[in-house]
Amino acid sequence: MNRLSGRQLAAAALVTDAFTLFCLRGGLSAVSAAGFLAGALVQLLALLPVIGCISAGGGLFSSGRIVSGAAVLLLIGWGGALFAMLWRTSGVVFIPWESHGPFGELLVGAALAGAALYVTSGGLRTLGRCAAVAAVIGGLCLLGLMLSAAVSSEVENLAINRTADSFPREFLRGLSLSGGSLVISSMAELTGESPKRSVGRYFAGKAILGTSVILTSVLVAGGVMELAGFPVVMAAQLSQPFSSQRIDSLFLIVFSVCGVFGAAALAAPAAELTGRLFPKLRRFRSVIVLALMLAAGLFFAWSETAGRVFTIGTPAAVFLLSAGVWLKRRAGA
Amino acid sequence: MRRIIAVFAAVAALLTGCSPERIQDRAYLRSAAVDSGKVTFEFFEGEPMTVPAEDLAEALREAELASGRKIYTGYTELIVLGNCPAKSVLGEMLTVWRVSPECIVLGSSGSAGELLTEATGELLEGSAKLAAGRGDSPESGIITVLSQLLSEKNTAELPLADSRGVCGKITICGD
Repeated sequence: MNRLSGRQLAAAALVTDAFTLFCLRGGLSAVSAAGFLAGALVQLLALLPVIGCISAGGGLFSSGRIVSGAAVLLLIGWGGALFAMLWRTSGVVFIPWESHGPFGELLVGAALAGAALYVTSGGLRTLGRCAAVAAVIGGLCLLGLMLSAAVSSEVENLAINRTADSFPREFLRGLSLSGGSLVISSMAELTGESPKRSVGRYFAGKAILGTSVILTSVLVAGGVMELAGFPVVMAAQLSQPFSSQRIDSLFLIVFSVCGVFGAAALAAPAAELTGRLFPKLRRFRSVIVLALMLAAGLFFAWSETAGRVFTIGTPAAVFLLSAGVWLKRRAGA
Repeated sequence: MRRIIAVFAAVAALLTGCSPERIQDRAYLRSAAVDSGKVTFEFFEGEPMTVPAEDLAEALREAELASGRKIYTGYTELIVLGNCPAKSVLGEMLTVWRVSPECIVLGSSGSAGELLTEATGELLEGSAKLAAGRGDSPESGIITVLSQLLSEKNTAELPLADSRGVCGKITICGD
């Protein structure tokens, strides 16, 4: 199996998180940034048994069929959640086919899945390189957006705090942004570097990314947050420095690229594990995984509550899974 | 590397809004004036038009039918408010019409539509920018005005305009 470096893995996970941040719905405030950081901290704690497992000889990739099967289900489920987010958000970021009704929405999902399939079929090494390029380009574009947002920032927006923005609610929302930590937990053992370093690098990047995106959105759109269905998208649309310029088109490119590589980052380990679990399906593993992700996406698009419960519960599932493996190994030793 | 470039090119072509459309098939809105029961549209080219409508969606549909072109509202530079629910009108213009965040909002003591037809959007916008630059009237970008209307005060201070340009201030209520 081909490998990817620690930095590439962190990039793949952060690209996934960036996409889910773009798809955030409902108002944001400074409390949201605190909730996001608290959620990330809990995700970090949930990954401690994963680090223990990898240090003791193998993570989710090398812990038997049941654990691998459960990891595949989690990855496919999260891929589905990502597609559901794409369908909900695509209308406000001017993806042209979205306006063609349910068929257009499916077409958008299929186009994204097709591009993700192309990346995934190249193996983990291709995914790693693509994710690194996407993270650099996305980072530069986000920096551009933040600089232009600085012009239209209102510092007093940080003080706006509506009663709905209670900390527990924001904490759960932060906890639900768990796609990146799932990517890290499933592939950290493949990098060849210390899992502590991989996890540490990822969470440092996640804290910077999440806090800066949320606070920028609050600074730009805090005053009209009540109207913002998708606050990060709205902040990108409001932050253009010139009236004749649509900087949201730059955001659209970042959004699409993060969507493709986020789906690929979840599909690649799922496909690799599926190939191991079912060697006869090895040739079509990427197609099968992405098709299942699309199906899960349809389900989560139909039942939003199920999607929310799944994404919030993912860190707990990873914790239970890896803690079980770790305890079993310790008992065996 | 070829694979990476191919993916980026495919994503840019398929998912980023590139679609063939001729510029002459669209009418680009420059200014809009909203009164109770009617909306006046002024485009970058052509004469202003007033359409009777109960809401903005209906007004846009009627104006598209009357002009024979799809109306693009993303470059709108000026909104003149007459007797209308300011908060919901401006909110819909920002989130549904997606007017430019730089768009200026002016108040009118009489009919906003008649004012826009008489004075032109160019004159009113220039006058509002000059007055704000001199400190004679408040900043009235759509985000600033909506932020005030969405706050607990539920009021906003706007430059008041007549046919000669900005002539004072007016405080409007969100509802």
